[in-house]
Amino acid sequence: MAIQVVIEGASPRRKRSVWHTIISFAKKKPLGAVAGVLLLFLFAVAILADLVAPYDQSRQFYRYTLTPPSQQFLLGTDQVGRDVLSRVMHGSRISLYVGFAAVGIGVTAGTIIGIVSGFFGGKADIIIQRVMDAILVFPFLLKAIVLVAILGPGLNNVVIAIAFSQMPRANRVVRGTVLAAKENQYVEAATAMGATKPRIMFRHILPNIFAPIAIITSVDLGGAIVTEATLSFLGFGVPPPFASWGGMLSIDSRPFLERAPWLALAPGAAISLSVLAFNLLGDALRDVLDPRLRT
Amino acid sequence: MRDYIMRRLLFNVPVLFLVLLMIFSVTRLAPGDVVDLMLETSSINSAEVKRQLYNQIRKELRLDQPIYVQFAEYAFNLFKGDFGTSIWTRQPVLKEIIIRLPVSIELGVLALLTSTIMALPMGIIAAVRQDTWVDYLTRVLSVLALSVPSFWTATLVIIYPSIWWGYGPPIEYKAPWEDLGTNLRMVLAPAFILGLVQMGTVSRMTRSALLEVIRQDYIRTAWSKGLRERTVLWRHALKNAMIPVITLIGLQVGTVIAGTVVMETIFSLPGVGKLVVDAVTKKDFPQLQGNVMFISAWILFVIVLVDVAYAWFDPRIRYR
Repeated sequence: MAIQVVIEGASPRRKRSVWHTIISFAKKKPLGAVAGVLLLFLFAVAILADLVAPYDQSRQFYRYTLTPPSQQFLLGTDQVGRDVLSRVMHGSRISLYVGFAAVGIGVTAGTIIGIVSGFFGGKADIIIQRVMDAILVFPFLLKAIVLVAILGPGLNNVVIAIAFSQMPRANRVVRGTVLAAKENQYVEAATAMGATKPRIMFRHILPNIFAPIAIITSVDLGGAIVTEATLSFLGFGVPPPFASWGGMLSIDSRPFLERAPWLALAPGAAISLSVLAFNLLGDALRDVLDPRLRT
Repeated sequence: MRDYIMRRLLFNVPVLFLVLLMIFSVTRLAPGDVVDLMLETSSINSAEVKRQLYNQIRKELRLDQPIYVQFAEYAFNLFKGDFGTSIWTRQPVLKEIIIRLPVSIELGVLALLTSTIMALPMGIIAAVRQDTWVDYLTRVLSVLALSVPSFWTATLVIIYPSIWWGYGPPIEYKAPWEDLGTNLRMVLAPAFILGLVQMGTVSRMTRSALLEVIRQDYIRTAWSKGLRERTVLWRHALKNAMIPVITLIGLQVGTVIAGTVVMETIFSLPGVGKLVVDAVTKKDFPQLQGNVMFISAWILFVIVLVDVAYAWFDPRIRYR
């Protein structure tokens, strides 16, 4: 039978609504709130691109190649007559898909490895961390380039390459947090109550280390978008017919960019604003969730 | 300390071995045969001649051996300092890296200098004037520097001067001792752009480190003694705040070689980063393996140096 303790005069703690949490966050961190609104706009464009884009991303207007911005083509057309605005809008899908998929896979894998490694410790921890060090030691972008070249061109291969490159960073952050978290009394209590090790790791420790995971996720999202754009720029990224922001600026397009410089502005601005929004949101989350990590 | 350094250096050996195992395995998993790729670009039309050449080249490159034999031979040669021979150029891999190293080092060092000169004052001002418009402006600029992709900035830097003034950077690289003017015209722009990206990270770290130091009791004591702001900042706060910043800059030294790949590609600079991209494109896996091992060994060495330097700067830290 459960024993209920009632304190006279105490008012019941009211559960805050999601809306109230958002308003409170916006008041404390206005820059973060602006970033959030910008990201919502980006998501809306990505989801509704087929409806809001003026033309299909692959449609070619042969009579209007390298046209400057006009009423018919708000951001101009490229070397084969495709509408730049439509391609930028559809390109947001690629960037967001790669960003979320790569970070989702990379951070999830890194979190699982970090929790297991940090919780068990000992020889398992040493071996796992040496493998992670071996992956981490090689520079991020070069790692992604080598992996994409080996896996072959394709949207999902780009996702796998970026996820693999991000995994060791997430592992390092999570492992460090777990090393401290496993010394807490709630872990001792769970062990005493007979909880299995997987239950302790994923039911008790994981919810309590949510803050650093949320922070690295938001920061890594911006990094993933830049990496995908850079890979596409270098020719290792998403192949045609997908419209990719980095691909629109690729080295192969350089001769046309010199004749039609407006082609270089929109995709680059789109990448910059998206990454800026993710970075600002990540900073705001960091300040709110873990003030010790404030920059 | 000497024992610590030796232990750290030895500890890196299994890490390097794992790096070697990974890169050796993944290059062998790549689709397509490098010898087929080489023969495709040749002017030989006869299928019979091509087949004989194919077998001959594979035998020369030891590609006809089982994979574990290839790995053992490569690891043994690496231990002797032989990084192998490039399949395409037929030159020693290490020679190709060393020829290109000065370009990447020059670009990397200039980028580091640029970023440090911009980042330190920004971070200091942002910390000292915390929560004012100056602080917000420098923080937004720092985040902006991190957010704007370097390849976009580089593309605009090449396109717009060409359109407005008919100016384009030199195409052929000249070493500083051959033609300093041409060399600087080639490297200053990419170095500045790279420096901008690094500036974002360093200025944020400087601000964060200085804020943490400013909140310490000894700084409060200095204020209460009536010392001027300049004295408190320069004589007491900055020295301790610079420790994590210097270690961050030190770590950037490690990645400086490989971080230049985009700039080298855009500005046609023959550096180590571009060598990696070329090796990947041509499936020149001895060159790729050698580049990966060289860069990884360099980064691990720099990490050990940074850890040792950290202990030297901060006497509270003692490694046993």
